[in-house]
Amino acid sequence: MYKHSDEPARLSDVELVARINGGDCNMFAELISRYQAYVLTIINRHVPHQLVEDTAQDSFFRIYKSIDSYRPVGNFKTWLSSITVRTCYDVMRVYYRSREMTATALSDNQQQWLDQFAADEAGEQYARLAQQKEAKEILDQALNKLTPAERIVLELVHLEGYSGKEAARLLDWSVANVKIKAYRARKKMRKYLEMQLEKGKGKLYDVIS
Amino acid sequence: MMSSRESLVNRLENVLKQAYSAQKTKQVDEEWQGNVMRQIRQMQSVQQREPLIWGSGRLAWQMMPATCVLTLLVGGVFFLSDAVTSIDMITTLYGNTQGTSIDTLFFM
Repeated sequence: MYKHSDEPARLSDVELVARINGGDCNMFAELISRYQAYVLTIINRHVPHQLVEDTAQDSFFRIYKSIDSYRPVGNFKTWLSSITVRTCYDVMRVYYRSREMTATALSDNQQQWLDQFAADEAGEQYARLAQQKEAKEILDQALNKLTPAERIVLELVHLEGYSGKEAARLLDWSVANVKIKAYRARKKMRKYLEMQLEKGKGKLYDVIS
Repeated sequence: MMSSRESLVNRLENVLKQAYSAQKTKQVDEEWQGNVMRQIRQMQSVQQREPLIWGSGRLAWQMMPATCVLTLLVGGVFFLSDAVTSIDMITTLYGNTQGTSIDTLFFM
């Protein structure tokens, strides 16, 4: 049994890491409990739903294997998120290689969603539209047009609001590389969205004429 | 001036950004955590059982730059001295006091 002051829940992150490095791997369970939700939030944003559990498992294995490389001078959460983001990137690279590339058109529901969006010029329904599953599906379709590297950079920089420098630190890439990829990725995504909006317009014109 | 098409794409981008932030986080159950810990314990027991292999592997990587420099230095010395001197060195090392030619070294 642990002494009161030695209870895992009472230890700081640095103390916890020191204990794990000292060979007490049971302390890692506390680390998982503490950061499981945080790690899952990151993973949910970067990998498809069906891969979340395996990616989370892989992330914690990597965290355990490299825990002796953590230096207490840095923020533990940042260190943890860096490993998690890199794991997501690796998982996505493998996923891209294994998936079948099919040119999928928008479904009727997705097209309808897009038409509703285009018709709402005042933007009164935007909050409601953003909550609908079609919004996420269209975003996924747009993201699928990018390479894994472009995708993760776009997600970090444009969708989550990290600066180029922060994203570069998370991915362990150069800032220039991140900025170039972010620019290219956004351009590609906008082109795709523009194309879908144009298609919608075309259909609308067909109905009118 | 921003075209209406450009502004529409901007607005669509913002709505999709909201959709991205609004996505629900998938939760894992306790069994998942138990499974991770079981594998972590297995990893630890393997590390404890083979500390020498793990340690020597890491040591080998740490010593790699020094080993490379040393190899280059020794190689340089051999390259600069002529072949006969090198053969003499080898014969001296093996304690062969009789004169050794290249033929005897390679066709023994």
